[in-house]
Order: sequence, then structure tokens, then C-alpha cells
Amino acid sequence: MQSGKSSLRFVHTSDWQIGKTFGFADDEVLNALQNERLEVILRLGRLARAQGASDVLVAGDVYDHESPSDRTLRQPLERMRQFPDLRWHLIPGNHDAHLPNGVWSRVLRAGLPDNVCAHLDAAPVPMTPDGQTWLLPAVLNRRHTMGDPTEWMDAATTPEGAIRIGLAHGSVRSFGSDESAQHNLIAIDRSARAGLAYLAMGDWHGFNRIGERCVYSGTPECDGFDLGGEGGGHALVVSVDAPDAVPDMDVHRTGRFFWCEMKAIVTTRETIDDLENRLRAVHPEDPSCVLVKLTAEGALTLDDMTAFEDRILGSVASALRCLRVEKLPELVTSADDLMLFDESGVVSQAAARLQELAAAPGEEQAHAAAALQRLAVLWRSERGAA
Amino acid sequence: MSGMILTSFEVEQVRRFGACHRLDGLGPGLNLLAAPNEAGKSTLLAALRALFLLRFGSKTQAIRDLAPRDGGSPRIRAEFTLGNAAYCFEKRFLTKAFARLNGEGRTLEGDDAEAQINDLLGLDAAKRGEVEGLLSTLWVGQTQSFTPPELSDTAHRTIQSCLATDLDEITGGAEAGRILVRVRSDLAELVDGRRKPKGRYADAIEGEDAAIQRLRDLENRRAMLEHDIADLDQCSRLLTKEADPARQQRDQSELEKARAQRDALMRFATRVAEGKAAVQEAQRLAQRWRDERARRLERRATLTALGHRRDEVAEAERAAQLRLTRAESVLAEKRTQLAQAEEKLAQAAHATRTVEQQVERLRLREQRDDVKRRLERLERLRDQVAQTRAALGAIAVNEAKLRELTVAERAVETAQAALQAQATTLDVALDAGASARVTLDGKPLVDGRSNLLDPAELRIEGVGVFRIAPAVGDRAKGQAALDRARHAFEAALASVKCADMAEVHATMERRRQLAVTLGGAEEALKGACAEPGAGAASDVESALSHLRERLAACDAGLTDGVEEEGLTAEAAQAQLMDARAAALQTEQAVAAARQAVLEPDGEHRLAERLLTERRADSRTVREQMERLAAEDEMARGELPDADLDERLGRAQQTLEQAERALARLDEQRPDGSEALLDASIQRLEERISGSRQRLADLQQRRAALLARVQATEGEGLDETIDATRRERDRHCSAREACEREVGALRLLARTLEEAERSVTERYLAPLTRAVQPAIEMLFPRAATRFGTDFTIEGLERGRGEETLDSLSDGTREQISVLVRLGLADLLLARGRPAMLVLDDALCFSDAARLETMFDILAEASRRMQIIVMTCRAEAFSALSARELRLSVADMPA
Repeated sequence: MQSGKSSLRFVHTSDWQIGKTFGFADDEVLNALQNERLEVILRLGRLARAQGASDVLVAGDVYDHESPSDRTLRQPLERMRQFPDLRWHLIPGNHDAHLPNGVWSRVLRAGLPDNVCAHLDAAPVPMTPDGQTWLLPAVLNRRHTMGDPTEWMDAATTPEGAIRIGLAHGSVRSFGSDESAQHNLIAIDRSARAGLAYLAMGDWHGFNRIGERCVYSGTPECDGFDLGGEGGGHALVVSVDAPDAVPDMDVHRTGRFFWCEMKAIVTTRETIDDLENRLRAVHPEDPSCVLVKLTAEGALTLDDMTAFEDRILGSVASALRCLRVEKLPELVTSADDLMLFDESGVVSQAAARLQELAAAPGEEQAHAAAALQRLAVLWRSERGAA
Repeated sequence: MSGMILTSFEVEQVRRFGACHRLDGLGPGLNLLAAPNEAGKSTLLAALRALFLLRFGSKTQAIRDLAPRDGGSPRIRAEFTLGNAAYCFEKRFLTKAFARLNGEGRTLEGDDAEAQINDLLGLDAAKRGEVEGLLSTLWVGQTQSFTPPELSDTAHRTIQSCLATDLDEITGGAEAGRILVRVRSDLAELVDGRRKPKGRYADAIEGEDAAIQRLRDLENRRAMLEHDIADLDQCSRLLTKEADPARQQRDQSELEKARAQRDALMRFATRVAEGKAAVQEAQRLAQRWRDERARRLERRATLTALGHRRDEVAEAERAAQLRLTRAESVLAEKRTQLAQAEEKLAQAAHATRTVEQQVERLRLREQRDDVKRRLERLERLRDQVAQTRAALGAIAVNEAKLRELTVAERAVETAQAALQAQATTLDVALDAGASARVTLDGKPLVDGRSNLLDPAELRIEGVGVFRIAPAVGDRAKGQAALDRARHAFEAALASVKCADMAEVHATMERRRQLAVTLGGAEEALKGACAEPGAGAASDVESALSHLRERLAACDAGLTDGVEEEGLTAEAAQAQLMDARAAALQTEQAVAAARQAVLEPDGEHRLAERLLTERRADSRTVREQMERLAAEDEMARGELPDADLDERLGRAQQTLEQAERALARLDEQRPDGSEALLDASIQRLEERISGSRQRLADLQQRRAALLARVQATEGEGLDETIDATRRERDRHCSAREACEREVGALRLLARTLEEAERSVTERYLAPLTRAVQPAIEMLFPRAATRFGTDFTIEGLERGRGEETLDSLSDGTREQISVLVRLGLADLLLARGRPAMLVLDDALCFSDAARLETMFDILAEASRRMQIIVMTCRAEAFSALSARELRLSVADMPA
């Protein structure tokens, strides 16, 4: 939404976590995911341009590691350099805290593009050339701080009538008793206390509007199955007309990949059909943008298991960017399964024996089920060849 | 006979057979082609295999090998019957290749012909350009007969189908076998023969291990980097601090302040030391006067106490004196009694001694007499021995001399006898009264015989003179010998002072008697010397001397004293006993008197000692009192008591003043301690002086750290660690998957093997039955066991089962032929074509086994055609078979 009058407009984003590694992914998927986290910077720039924003606020965790490689260090800087008409404001997050001789020292040594500003001191700085908007960046000097990194903003002085924009990385509430959640805790009413027109927050990977003036943008490119469709993959375009005006914000989709976690119970050929449909329906236009973490429970016969493997693990998995299978349905064989091996005495006798072993708890139970499956495949292959 | 019967076979341009050659004589039953090496037997078999098993359009190496060296197109033609139908099958390979089958009233060409043949014979397409089937395994080439038939899949299926006909089921053994092969192959890709991981399984394990190791290294490097960064931060802070001029100024200022504080502290310490010295001096002076006063008081108290002590000691001395006096009186009385008793004892002792002297004189006298007697006897014996020895010494004859004289006497006698033996005998018998008228050499002649040695003159008065000249040969020599003997004899007699031998013997006898006498005398003398009282002397003179000394001693003992006349020894002894008894009684009285003296003597000694001690005590007390009084007097003379008190008061006042001054000084103590200030000063001095060096060191260290950090951080350790973790997890997943797969494959393989074994045992029974008769013919009471690949795994005989490998070459070959016969029988039993061809088989069989094999082949040839080709014509002559011949023939149009 663009207003007619002159107002401050900026893009709020956070948690790029450049260089993040995804353990479950194979090389191809990993490369795609890592590359997309860089590409999204270009989309953010284009979004800012398209929305008439002058600044992009990145609320921490630009990098995923405290000591990225030189290439990883420079890659986002070079992406930002491609938008000289935009001012990019960066602050450290818990992943890339401003430690002595840490990643930000290297960034400074590497040389920031003119349009990029790394805010490494907790002090107000003019955000716009006219001096009417001041940015109050919170700086994490270590990964976890016990105090509120935004507390100083209450007493920070800015010119009278200036718009005060806060930029911080942390959690506005504590989750459970986990000690780590107590770190970098930020007062939920910080924007009110410090007279902030807007407090751009980072740390949570899903979009979350805490209040009128306190918002988490989430990561611009989703990076976890747990958030999935609930957040991530977005950026905010924020407009602030006056110091005390309620900011106007729009949520824009920036992510390319769709991450989702899916659970299914498969017991019959029909349930396999359903599962296939569900998987293909996540993003039917481009399944290659879809990453699914699948938990498939239930039990399948030998024949159905072959179908499951063929259709879900074979076809659908090839269509998707990544199908991460957490759990497979169990193989349950029956007398009918032995019919697969029709009149073949040796093979059917072996299959019957394997079926017995697969049904009886013991060391060989799991091996027996796999062996039976393999026997079925080989048998079909032999028969097919014949 | 059913099955396939080859009736004609021709080859042209097949290896050595350039022209068309025909095998004549083929027919049902046993056929034998006996031909030498290189006659072309193996070529014929190769041609047979090519005709039925190789595609006519094939140009494989097998086909090319069939052509003659100089090139050509192999052509092969066979006529055969199958059941009741006759066929003619012909092929040419390579150039203008064709296949043609005539039979059942029609002619098929090319692929159709081959398809029909395959169908008729149960063959299947196999490798490129080839077909295969069980029939082909019955055509056994050279060296193939040693090994069990290699069964193709088609052959497997054929056998299975034959066997399954009986069982009325299809076992799926071939599929199971292929599945098993694939399972084993899949397993072999993951584990080796020793069950060790290989391939991607090993890669996964190695990759995981390597990733873990790499991860460990990376994490170590990450920790080192963090450490370096922390170090660098600290170094930078130190550097900033070190390079700060304000800090240097502050250090200098702190140093001066510390020095000023230390100087103040030192001054204060001097004042404190002076104050303490004043206090100590005042304390010393006050103590001196306190000590002096205390000494005086103590001395006077001691004097008072000594006065009391002096009185006590004087009383004790008096008591001791009294006690001594009483003891002396008692002691004097007892000593008097003792002296009287001792006097009596002396008298008794004297009397005893007098009697003892008398007894002793009597004993001495008796002893003197005895000694004297023995002395006289010894002297007598000594004289006797001396006289005897002298007499013996005077006798010159001894045993030696006697033997010498006897020898000399015998020499005279011998010389005389020798001379007399030559003498002239003159026997005279004179008439009475004639003797006076007859003289010989002037001497009257007497009757008897005379030996005349020298010329003699016999005068007969009245008659005249007769001169007799004895006829002695060497009268002079004999006489001289006699003279020497006599001279020697006489000299010997003279040396013993005897006139003749009789005297010599008499003298010798006397000598012997004297020797006996001397021995007796010497023995007696020796005995006398050895008697007690002679001093056990070894010689006579010593004994004599000893006895004389004893005699002199006895005489000397008898010179003193007066001998009571008429006193006997017995009376003297009686007197002595009486005197001794009296003396003993007196001694007892003396002992009692002495005992009575002991107690008064002890009391006297004690009283003396007590008195001495009391006197010493008294003297000591007196001396002490005198010394103390003198000291007190002298002290008062030097410093009267009033002056002493006045000086003590002044000294205490001085002490109190000094202590108050010291306390006031302590309240003014400056802050800090000298040691701390010294340390602080030293630290500041070192810091100021070493600032430049530290600055340089820190800069150098910071530069090194910075270089190291920058060199390391550029690598992106965190990313690498994440990537390595991902790699580790990927390898771990792969490994686990491989483990699962290996487990499944092993189980599958095992299960399939067990199933196959179980099923095979059932459905192999017909094959075993087919082979068993022939086996029993060759190996009586032996049984065979077939494996799942239809080969004999072992032979069970009386001594247990033997594996095929353990059997000899000949036995293995025979079994191999028998198995083929069994397979052929199996085919025939199912109405399928079967024909056995053996090329140079049974070459390792001994004569007996060969005969048996001939019987077996002959028996089998009733059911099938068997063609035997051999180079051993003689050995195989016993095989009653059709004789085949190779001949050149024109090919039919």
C-alpha cells in the first residue's frame, strides 16, 4: 500500500542465515536451498524497489555461522551491492553476534558496499539523509545476553520530532522453562517505552505481529519443516508517516520453496492414492518447489508396499524438491502375498519362511521383511525377464 | 529306440576338411569312430555343434574358427531321424550363409529352419548367435568329459521340466537359482568372501570414519580459532591500554605517589623505632630497680629461714654425738671379747703346728731311708751293667767274626785237601823194634799211613837211605794256596785273640752269656729308674741325681727342729688330731665373737656418718648466713633501701611516659604497608621501563594472531563443520542402509538356499534314479547325491561320502559320462530327443573299468544313439559298435 504523502517506507526482513546447512538434504537439494537463500536477497531488493521503499532493515542473523567462509561472507554483500538505490541496514543476531574479531569485524575488513550499513554500536543513527528518521539498532555482542538488548533505547535521545525506528534481534517472550529461551529477551512493550514508531524484530522465522509497532518479519526463505505454511518466506513493507502514527505494513511473499510436514496413515492402495494426491497438491504448479517431511504410518502388504515405494518414494519423490521420509509403513505379509510367487516351489517356500520370520519378533524380523520385499522384486524381475 | 538318430553327416570347408567328407556307417545304437590323432574327430564334433547350436548368420569367433585356414565357407549337413520322422538339416556359414531343413514333407529355410530345429531339439537362444539346451551337454568334446556338464538355463529348465513331470509341479528352481545368483551378486557388491564390507558399504564406513575424524579435527581447529580470537581480543585490549599516554602518565603519577607514601612510612617507622627504644630503656631501668628490691627482700627472707635452719641443725648434731658415744662404748666391749678369742685361737694354732712338725719329721725320716735304699740299689745295678759291658767289650769274637773264621778255616781245609790229594801215600808197618831204625827225614817212622808231599828221605838204619820224591804236579802252587789260607786263618784268629777255633767257640759262648746277663741287668736298671720317686728319669744318671737331691732335701728337713725321742708316728698322728680339734673349737668361738662385733660396728659407723652430716649442715648454714648477711650489708652500703625505692618510682614514671608517647605515635600511622608499596613501586617501575618492549611484543603477538585468525576464519570453519556433519550423517545413513541390506540379502540367500535344497532333494529323485543303475554297475553299493545344479556333489560308498574333487581323474570322468547318460535317459523317458557323443572320453579308465563302461554304453545304446570317437582303436575294439568311416564324397545337389 502506497500513500500519496511523503512517508518513510522500508522493507523489514530478518534471519537470512546465509550459509545454513541442511543435514537431511542431498547435495543437489542443499545447493538449491543454499542458493535460494541468496537469491531471496535479490527478490527483497526488487520488492523494495517495486514498493518504493528506500531502506531495507535486516533484523539480525544475516549469517548462519560465526565464522563463515570468505565466499559466504561476501555473497550477501554482493547481492545488496546490486541495489545502490537502497540503503541496507544490518545488525548482528544470535547466529552472527558481534564478537571481538568475529564475523562483523571481517565484514568491515572485507569492505561494505556504500549502500550497506552494519550497525555495530547500540546508539541512535540517522536513517534518512534528512535526519528526520533515526534508527535505534540493538546489538548482540555475544550469542546470548541475559539483559534486554533494547533497554538502552528508552533513554536514547534523538532530535525532537524524529521518527524512531527500532531494529532488534531476540525474543519478546519466554517460552517454557528452557534456559536458552531466556536469552536476548526483549520487553514486549519496548516500542511504547522507547517511543518507537516501529520495532523491526528478528529471530523468529515465521511472520508474527506482536503489536501495532512490534513485528517479526520472519525469514524471507523458509528453512524448516516445522514452520511450513505458518510462517517464513515473507517480508514486510512498512510505511511510517509520523513518529506517533501507527505504521502501515504489508506482508509479501518472498520465498520460493514450500516446506511442509505431512503425516499419513497408509494401509491400502486407496490410502496410497490419497497420499500421492496430497503430496502433489502442495504446489501442483511447481512441485519442484516443495519440500515435504513425511511420516507414513500404517501397514502394507507386499504388493501395496511395492506400490508405495514405486509411487510415493519413486514418482512423487522425484517430482518434489525433497521428500524426507521420517517413517515408513510396516510391511505385513499374508498368505495372499505368497500367491505372488505362484507355483514356484523354491521361491514360494523361501517366501513363506521369510514371512514367518517377519511375523515373529526377533533379530531377523526387520531383515526378513526387507528380504521378502527384495525377493518379491527379484521374482517379478525374473518373471518379467522370462 | 526313440530319440534322435544321426544317419548321415557331411562337412565341407570345415577346418582341415576342405573337400566334402562324409561319416559313413551311422545308425542306431553304438557307433565307433576310431581314428588316429588329427584325423578330424574333434572337428566333426565341432561341426555337429555348429550345425545345431550356432546361428547360420553368425560370424562370431566360433564360426570363424570353423573355417579352413585359407578361408572358405563351412558347410555342414546332417540327416537324422526323430521319432518316426526323417530330417535333413544343412547350413553354410559366413559367405552365402544359409540354413535349410527338409522334413515332414516340407523345406524350411533360414530362421524358420533354425526355429524348427530348436523346437524339435528343445534348444533356446542363448548368447549372440548361439542356442543352447540340454542336448548340447550330451555332446561331449575332448577334455569336457572330466568335468560335470555345464548346464545352461535352458538345460536347467529342460531337466526341471523333465523332473517336474513326475512331481506334477514346477519347482521354480531355475528362477530361484538366478535369484540366488543375483542376491549373491548384490551381496558380493557389499561384502567380500570373508564377510568384510566392500564397495559402497566399505565406502560408507570409511567415509563415516573419515568424516568423524575430519569433524574432530575441524572442531579442534574451531576451538583453536575461538581461543585465538579471545587471545586476539585480549591482546588488542592490552595494546590499547599499553599505548594510552594518559595511562603512562597515570603510571608515573602512581609511582611518585607510591614513593612518597613509602618515604612517609619509612619516616614513621624510624619514629616508632625510637619510641620503642625509649620504652624498652625505661622498662629495662624500672625492671632493674624492681629486681634489686626483690633480690633484697628475698635475701632477707632467706636469712630468716636460715636462722631457723641453723637451730634445727645444731639440735640434730647434738643427738648424733650422743648416739655415737653410745655406739663406741658397745663396740669397745665387743672388740675386747673378740681379741680374747683370737688369742686362744693363736695358741691352739701354735700347738697344732708343733704336732704337725713332729709328724712331718717322722714322715721325712721314713722317706729319707727309702730314698737311700733305692739310691744304693740303683748304683749297684749301674755298676753291674758297666762291668758286664766291659767284659763284653773285651771279647773280640762276635757273630760276624765267627762266620769269618769259619770261612777261613774251611779255606785251609780245602787247600789242605787239594794238596793231600796229590801226596804220595806211605803206608808203614814196621816190625817190632824196627821203628828205631827207621827214620823219615830224620824222625823215627811210626806205623801207619803218611802222605808225602815233599821229597823225603827214608833212612833205614841199616838199610840205607831211601829218597822218596812224591809225584806232585804243582806242589808249590798248592802249598802256596795252603799257606795263604792258613795265613788268613791265623790272622783271623789273631784278630779275636784266640789260638784256635775251639777257643773261638768258647769265647763266643761266653759272649752270649754275658749278653744275656747284660740284658737282665739293663732291664733291672731301667725298671729301677722308672720306679716312683726316681723322678721318672730317662737315664740312670738323672735318676741317681734325682734320688740324691731328694735325699739331700730330706736331710735338710731333718736338720731343723727337735725330734721328740721315742715318739712314734701313730702317737704323733693322735696328738695332731687332738690339737686340730681344739683349734677348731677355738675358731668357732672367734667367729661368734666377730659376729657379735658386726652390729655395734654398723651402729657406730652410722652414728659417725650422721654426726659428720649434721656438722656439715651446720657449717653450710653458717656459711650461707654469713654470705647473705655480707651481701645485704654491702648492698645497703652501696644503695640504701630508701634510695632504692625512690629510684624505682622514678623509673616507672619514665616508662609510663614513653609508652604513652608510643601509643600516640601509633595513632598517627600512615595507610599502606611498606612491602605492598615496594611491590607497587617495583611493578610501576617495571611497567614504565618495560612499556616499549611490551608494546612491541603485544603488537607482534597481535599481528601474528590476526594473521592466524584471518587465515583460518576465511575457510569458514562453521560451514565446513556443518557440511562435515552432514557428510558424516549421510555416510552413517548409508552404512546403516548397507547393514540392513546385507542383513536382508544374507537372510534371503540363506533362505533361498535352504528352500532350494529342500525342494531339490525332492525333485532330484528321478534324476538320481536315472543315474543310479549305471553308477551301481561301475561302483557297486555306491550312491550319488545331486546338487541343485544337477551335478553330482559326492559319491557315497561304504567308507562314507566322498566329494567329487577328492576322486581320481578317471573316476570323475566316468561319473561325468554316467551323469550325461542319466540326463539322456531322463530326456528319453520324457519322449525328448537324446543322443550322446563322446570324443576321446574314458582315456583315464583302467581296463576293468573300461570294460564296465563299455557294458554300460552298450546297454544304454539300446535306448539311444551313442557315437564314440577315439584314437585308441585297440582299447575300444572290445566295444561292439558300428564302425564309422570318414570318406570323401560329393555333396548332393
